[in-house]
Amino acid sequence: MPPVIEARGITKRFPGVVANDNVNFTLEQGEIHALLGENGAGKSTLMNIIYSLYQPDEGEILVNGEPAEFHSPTDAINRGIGMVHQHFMLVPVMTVTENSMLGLEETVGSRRISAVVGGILAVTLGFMIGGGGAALSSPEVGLSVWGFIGAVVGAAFAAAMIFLDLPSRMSSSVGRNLIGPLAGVGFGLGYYVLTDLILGAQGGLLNWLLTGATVGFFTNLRWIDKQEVAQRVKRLSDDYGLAVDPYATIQDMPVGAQQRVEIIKALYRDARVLILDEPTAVLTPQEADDLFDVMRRLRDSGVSIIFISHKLREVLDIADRITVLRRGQVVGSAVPENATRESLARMMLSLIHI
Amino acid sequence: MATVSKAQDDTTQRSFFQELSKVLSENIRDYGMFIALFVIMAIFTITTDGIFISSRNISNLLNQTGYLAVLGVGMTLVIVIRHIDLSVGFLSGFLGAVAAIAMTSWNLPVGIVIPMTLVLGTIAGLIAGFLVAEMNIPAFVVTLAGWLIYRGAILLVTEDTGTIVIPNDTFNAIGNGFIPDIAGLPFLREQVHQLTLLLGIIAIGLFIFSEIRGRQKKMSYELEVLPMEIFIMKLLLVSGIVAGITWVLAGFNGLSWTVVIVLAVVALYHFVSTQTVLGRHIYAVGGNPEAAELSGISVKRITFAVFASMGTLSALSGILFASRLQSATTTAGTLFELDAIAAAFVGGVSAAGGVGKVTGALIGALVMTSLINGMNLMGIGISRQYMVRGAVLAAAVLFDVVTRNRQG
Repeated sequence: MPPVIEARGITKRFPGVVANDNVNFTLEQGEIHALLGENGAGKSTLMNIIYSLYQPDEGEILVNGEPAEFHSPTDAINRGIGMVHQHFMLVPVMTVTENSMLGLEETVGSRRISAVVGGILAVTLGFMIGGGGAALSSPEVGLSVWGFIGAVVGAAFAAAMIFLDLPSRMSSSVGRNLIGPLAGVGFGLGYYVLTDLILGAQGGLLNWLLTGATVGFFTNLRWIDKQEVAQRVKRLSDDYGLAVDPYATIQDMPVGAQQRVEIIKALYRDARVLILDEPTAVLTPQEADDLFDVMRRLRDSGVSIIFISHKLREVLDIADRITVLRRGQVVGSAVPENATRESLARMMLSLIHI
Repeated sequence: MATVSKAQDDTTQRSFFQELSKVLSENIRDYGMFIALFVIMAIFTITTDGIFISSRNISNLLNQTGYLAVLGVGMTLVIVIRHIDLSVGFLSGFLGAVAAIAMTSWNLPVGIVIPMTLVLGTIAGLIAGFLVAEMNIPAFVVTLAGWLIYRGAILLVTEDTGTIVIPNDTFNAIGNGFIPDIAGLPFLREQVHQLTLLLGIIAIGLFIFSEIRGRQKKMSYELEVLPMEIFIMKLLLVSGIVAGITWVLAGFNGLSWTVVIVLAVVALYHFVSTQTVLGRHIYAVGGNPEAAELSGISVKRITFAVFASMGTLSALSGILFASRLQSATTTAGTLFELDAIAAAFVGGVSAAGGVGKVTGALIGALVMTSLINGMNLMGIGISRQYMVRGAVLAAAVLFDVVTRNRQG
């Protein structure tokens, strides 16, 4: 079985410094692999390359044995790689649920509700176009029949968009976003030709185009199903003993809990690889022990974890395998059974070369 | 909305008033602006011997609020994503003038002019959005340039004619007309606007229904809800206010088209900002742009969308204002932007980003307009009016900062 992640010959230069110099690194399925090194050894750079925040100058990343072309963190997320940064990437004013689904919102039943809104809008616009404007100033002026029919047809159109669910069938995001408005404009154009040109009503081309486009736009709005997401967050929290309330607001939570939200956010994105960048730096010793329990539970369920740290005790405590970086180079690797604090410290400081 | 009472048995031991003060202090950020509005209205009612609360004045007040509320709604979202738009005032004045010219000089029908004006507003917003999102120019600078340009533009297009009088009845009805009445309901013989009354009753019914459903749903998910007594009191209070406003309006000419349009805009923006993916993304970008970008949200696209919506609403505001005055003037739109920003802040938007409701902007706009209206009724000079409005704005932001620190 190929390693989950393999970094081959990664080199990354920043002005005046080589952050990673021909680094090789592998992560096996279901292991906790500690990346050990002093501040500035290149640990975070390597992880940011794996997470595609940076592009390497040389070398390649293989995911499950296949070369991976990553251009942005979105690509990494799609390949099942999640990262918990030292500085949390959460929206403080939002709840755990809202943060978890950010960018990946569940939209069950969305189009039905959009259709209702679109339909109401179509009726209103049709009313205005069909002589509602005239009726504004003098109530005795009746509505144009064609405006009324147009409104009803517009509403039916919105319903049809939903029924056929055209937007979801589009493969590209451009198609998904444009199909509604385009179909709407088509509807408006067709209705204009029918009523104004053939039947001699006075709706006006612009009005009908606008009606159609507006209705189309609203059939495209996606409605969030928060409860569904909250249930999933709750399950993830229970499964891994994360003890997070899905409805709590981030800014009210202690740092340790915020970190667990970051883990949930990654798991919510189906991460099979979790990169934890100095996770214990912000925690109390008790919180760190709790985190280690969570990490073990994740590992046992098959998640592979990269654990970045410069604390020897923690690395020996939790890791299955240890790789030591110094000045951008891999200076050694070890398993905790055969390593001591002294041997690791020597590697970190390069007192010996293996 | 409200986050109260952890455990049920905990609540039963406290008295109603303890409970009430707890609810109030925990949700002071949400309720503060309502209290402010209530206090302001009460003060003016007393100082003007009841003229302020009369049907005619309230109807007038709501119509005056219209153009400001619409701007405030858009401005709320702009401030939520940590930007600002100073150009909205003169943009709205300029587009009002364009609409007037289109009707008087180009003889375009009103059914074309209104959509055209809205589209022009959207384009103006997209240009500002482009400069902010793509070119990374601070919004303050971009929209200050817009302020100057649109001010010049409105002077330019009204140079020859001065004030342009709009002769179109349909257009003028938007700012001055009222919804038609329905023929006699049997039980009312007084001179009241019956459709308005009916709509008010429907609104109250819908409100109570949705509140009860929301509460049941929250309870089924074991979320915290308001204690029962306070929930009932809230229902009664809001229903009472809606009923009062409806009754007062029905006593004059009924609901105006301006109010209908404003309510539609607020409802639409409320729906989009709270219930849709687009809305959540706007607040996420405001709350933490870096996290939003890492979550796969395009901050640029959100910025474009928010500025485009601001432009569209500026155009709508220009239409409402020109329609209300039945003319386009050379000074239309002066200081609208500052009133809109004030309305947004009074309505609870936070300059730190990510926080603020569009419904708050409506209340904020009502506060600002009530101040102007009430002080006019009292005969207070314009010099002091500006100072009072400034003080209220400062107080609103101070309130925001103080309550936020206390929460944090």
